[in-house]
Amino acid sequence: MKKNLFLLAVFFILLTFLSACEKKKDKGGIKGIVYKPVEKIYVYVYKEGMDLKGPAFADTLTDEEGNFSISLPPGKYLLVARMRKTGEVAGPVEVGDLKSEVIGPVTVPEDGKVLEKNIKVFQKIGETKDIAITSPDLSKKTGIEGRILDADGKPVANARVHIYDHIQMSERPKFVSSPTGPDGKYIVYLPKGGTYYLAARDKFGGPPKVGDLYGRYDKGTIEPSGVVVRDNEILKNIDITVHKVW
Amino acid sequence: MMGILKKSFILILLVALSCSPKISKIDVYTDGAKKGDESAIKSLLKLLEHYEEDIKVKAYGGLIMVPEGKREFLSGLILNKLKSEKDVVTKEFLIALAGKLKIKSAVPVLIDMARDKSYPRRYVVYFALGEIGDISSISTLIEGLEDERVDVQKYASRAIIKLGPKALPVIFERFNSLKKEVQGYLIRAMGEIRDRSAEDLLISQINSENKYDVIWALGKVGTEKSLPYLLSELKNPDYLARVKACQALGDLNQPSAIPYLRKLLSDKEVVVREWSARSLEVLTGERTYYIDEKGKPALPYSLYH
Repeated sequence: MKKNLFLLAVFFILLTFLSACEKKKDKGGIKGIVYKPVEKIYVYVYKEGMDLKGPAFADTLTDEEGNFSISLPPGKYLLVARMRKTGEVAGPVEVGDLKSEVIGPVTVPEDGKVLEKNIKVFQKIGETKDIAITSPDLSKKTGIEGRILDADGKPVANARVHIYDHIQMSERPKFVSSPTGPDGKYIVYLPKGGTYYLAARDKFGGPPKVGDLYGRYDKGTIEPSGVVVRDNEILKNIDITVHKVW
Repeated sequence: MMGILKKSFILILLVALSCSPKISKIDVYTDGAKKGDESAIKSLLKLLEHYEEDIKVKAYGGLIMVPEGKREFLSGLILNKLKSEKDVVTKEFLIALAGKLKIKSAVPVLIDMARDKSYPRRYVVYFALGEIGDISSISTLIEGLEDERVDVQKYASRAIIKLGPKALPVIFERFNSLKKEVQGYLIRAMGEIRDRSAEDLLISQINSENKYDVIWALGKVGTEKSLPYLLSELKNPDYLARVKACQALGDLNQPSAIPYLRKLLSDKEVVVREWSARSLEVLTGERTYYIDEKGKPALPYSLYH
């Protein structure tokens, strides 16, 4: 009996070892060297006149080498790069966080030309004076806000709302929200009222692929439902559910 | 004797372990599945059970590429697995697969699943029924419009739209007995199905709680008969009704609406002025200015790039 138990124990140890070997063989890994200051950093874009301490007009995260690209409608913009030690997208820049000077105004032309702007970042070592930019009256802002939810009705973090002004919702979005936090909330400020078409997704760039999270704002139709926003109105509760692309 | 038995048992288990599909070979299985290799198809189906979602997605991506000639083989495997699968996410992938591969024999199983409210991701059941497009699912799809989950309602609605005009006789028959919210979905569905036989039913709902949807749908399926109803909405004190009416008149494409739309170029709401200009461009073929929010003449941008 004892011998049988011993054999059984040997067998289970062998089984565990084998399956562990299998997993080790199958799982890939990441190795490399991290050099400072080459790391991901957020680039925030503000329209001229916007409060640089408020939500940005658009933002993006650089790749590991610091490259970034963001599509914008024609107009004048200010750029600033920030990376908080906490990794948060929003909030005050504290001593020790990385930040850049304010770049601009940069004029994005009508002809769709992509401009090149390199940004140098440095570590904040002490409190400095606020940049003198007038905060626009909050009651005169135009925008859309809501939440991004998943298939289980739970908030989705790190997703963005893409806003288009044409019904096909193809090519580049006209406006993009900041990535959502754990509460799934988003807000997008718009330059003016109008009819907009919304989609939420967890990836940025290119058409959504199988397995990506994606959802359009619609009322159960195949054609997306336009959202009508009036000037100086923040349209609320525009919730979007994202599902896997099948 | 016992020793031989034990050794054999261990040997069999070792063989079984070595036969289980390996993640590192997922691309090889995918290539095999594309060529219709049954063992590769089985391996991918097994990997659909993997706890990592990325692996499931890769396996799914390979399975949807199985050639036509091997679809029946795969369908049988999927149906068997569907009946016993307990994991919520693996089940979601299997159901989506049944839909994507348009497995008609899965419809009765899917109908049963749609009624199982304990399955939290039942949206995917309606996705699959929509992909398969079998009219036998129409009652289930209409029931789905009343589901407590909004995403389920929307997928059910899209599935009805995908059924096309063959869904209309059932919609007409059931419409009046349904709740207003459900009627809203069906009104929008009738708009997207774009069959003129829905016009009378839509007109009868113009003063209902679903007014905005009725106006939009009449633009899609209406004829000259709908014109007076839409023109009357241009005078609605509710600016959103006026926006919808302007939009619908552009879709309806009846030139007699032109003078009425021109009047709305001086509406007090910018978005109404913009939509009247946009629809006038559709009807006249000429660029039309409206007064923008700064009081300056502007051209509406095209919604249809």
